Amino acid sequence: MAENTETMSNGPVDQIDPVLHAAARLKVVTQLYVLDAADATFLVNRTGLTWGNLSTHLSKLEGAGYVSLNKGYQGKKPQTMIRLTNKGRRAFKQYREAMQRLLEDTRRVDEPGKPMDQPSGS
Amino acid sequence: MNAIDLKREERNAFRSVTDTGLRDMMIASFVAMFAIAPLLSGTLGDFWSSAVFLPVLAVVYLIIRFVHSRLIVPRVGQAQWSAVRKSHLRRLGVAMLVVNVAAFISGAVAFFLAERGVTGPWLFSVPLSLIVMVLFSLLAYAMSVPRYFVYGVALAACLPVGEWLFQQGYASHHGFPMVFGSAAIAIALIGLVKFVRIASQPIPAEDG
Repeated sequence: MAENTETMSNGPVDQIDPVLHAAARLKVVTQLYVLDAADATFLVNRTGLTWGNLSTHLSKLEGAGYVSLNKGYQGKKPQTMIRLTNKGRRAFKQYREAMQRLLEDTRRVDEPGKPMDQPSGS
Repeated sequence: MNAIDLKREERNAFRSVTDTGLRDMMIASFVAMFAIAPLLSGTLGDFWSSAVFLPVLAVVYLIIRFVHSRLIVPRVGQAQWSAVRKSHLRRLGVAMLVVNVAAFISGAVAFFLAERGVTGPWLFSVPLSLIVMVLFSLLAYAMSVPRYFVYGVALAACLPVGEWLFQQGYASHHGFPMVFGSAAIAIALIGLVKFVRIASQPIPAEDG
């Protein structure tokens, strides 16, 4: 029975960053990853989030140190530019790699004829 | 956002801010110059019939910038581009400069040959068509807007088509007013449709 009590801890699932593993935050980080910086209007338009949702998710990302908010002025109007930090960029790269590994492992299980697909009792 | 394709996301993000129809209208204004200038050359002369458009184009540019900041930016937001995109845009600037210098040299050579009795519709048409094609292809690539390539093909075709219409007796002034006028109207309409689609959207409200 000992082998049946093995858990998924320290497996590929645990390497998935929970901060990024939410569709809304992933959309925000993806947009910021391909840019240098963007304002909130741009992110609202590109992600389809409401202002309230965006604000909540940005707070979480800022709390994790993944984004920085630079407040300034565009002419006389206040403007906040949002930028992915280096930590955020690294986290996004690692998230993509972890997801790819996880999906590769899953695919190996699903592919017929591979050793992992053999029923254990046969 | 079905699968994450970062290149596509960057392209779409770039286009969402830059492809607002206003550039099309600027291009249309420039093309309209080729349509109207030949009609004015009788009264203003060859040089002034074109030169008079420079302040007009400057005013159009300023109006477009004003409209962009007042109507477009509040709706689409603002973004600062990645180093890769900035490098693309810098290369576009250099390439545009090189092509324009080549255009100037080929134009000077064509005038030099024309002065010495070399004639023929292809003395100006072929080099100019090629230059237009190259310029718009560069623009289409750097701005990630394939539509500009179609503009390039259409505008490059304007010269031989206009000349043909002129020789057949269907158009005056080497067909310029007809072909470039039609192209300017078509490009302006495409730009206007894109612009109205964006400008008619409500400004995202911060209170959601």
